[in-house]
Amino acid sequence: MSALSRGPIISSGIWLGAGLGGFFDGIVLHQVLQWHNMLSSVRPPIDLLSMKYNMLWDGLFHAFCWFAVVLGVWRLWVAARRPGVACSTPTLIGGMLLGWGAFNFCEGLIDHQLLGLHHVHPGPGQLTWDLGFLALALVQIAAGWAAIARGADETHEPRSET
Amino acid sequence: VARDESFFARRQEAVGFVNHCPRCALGRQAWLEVQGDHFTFNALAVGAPFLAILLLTAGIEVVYRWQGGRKHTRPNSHEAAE
Repeated sequence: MSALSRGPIISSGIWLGAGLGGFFDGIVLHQVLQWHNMLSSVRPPIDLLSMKYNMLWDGLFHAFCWFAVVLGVWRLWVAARRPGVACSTPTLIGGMLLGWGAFNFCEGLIDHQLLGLHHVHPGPGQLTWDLGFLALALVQIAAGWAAIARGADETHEPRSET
Repeated sequence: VARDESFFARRQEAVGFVNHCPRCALGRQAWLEVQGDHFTFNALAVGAPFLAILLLTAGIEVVYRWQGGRKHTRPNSHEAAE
């Protein structure tokens, strides 16, 4: 049995997870629930001009997400055509969860904590919401890691059929 | 059609809107000034998590190539079919 590489599939999944996770954040937290916008702690959307300013940065954030998804699909296509790459479903799902969690963790750490561009649910108890967001990101990373480990079974040459 | 000033006044009172119209000269000028405000910084801040993902996947690609990458020769299903 020769080991097959899963790196390209994990890498594709990470891009897909980051892009789709970003879209989830933008659609659910920015637009549907309207908890925050991209720069809502810097320029709170309390008038039309500030709202348009936040809309612009929400749009650019979604543009980044769109490129991440396109890159993920392209990387997946390239990976599927590479020799010696294990096309394992748990590995891809794990990579996506890992990407979503890693994206949320970086976004939470950089944009929420370090730069204070926005907070998950601004107002009283916003730190609790921000820390909960980071904890959720760690859970996603752990779940992704576990799924990738489970996919390791599919990375060996199948036994010859008798 | 006459603009209903009372509507804008009521809205401003209710939700704190100001009557900045992006299509009028004053509003557009203010809008352009806002756009130029920390644009590069904001772009880097919004893009930072994606840069982190780029570094992570670049690292995985380096490891894949370092481990031999194309040395593995098992064909994928479509290649096997060919």
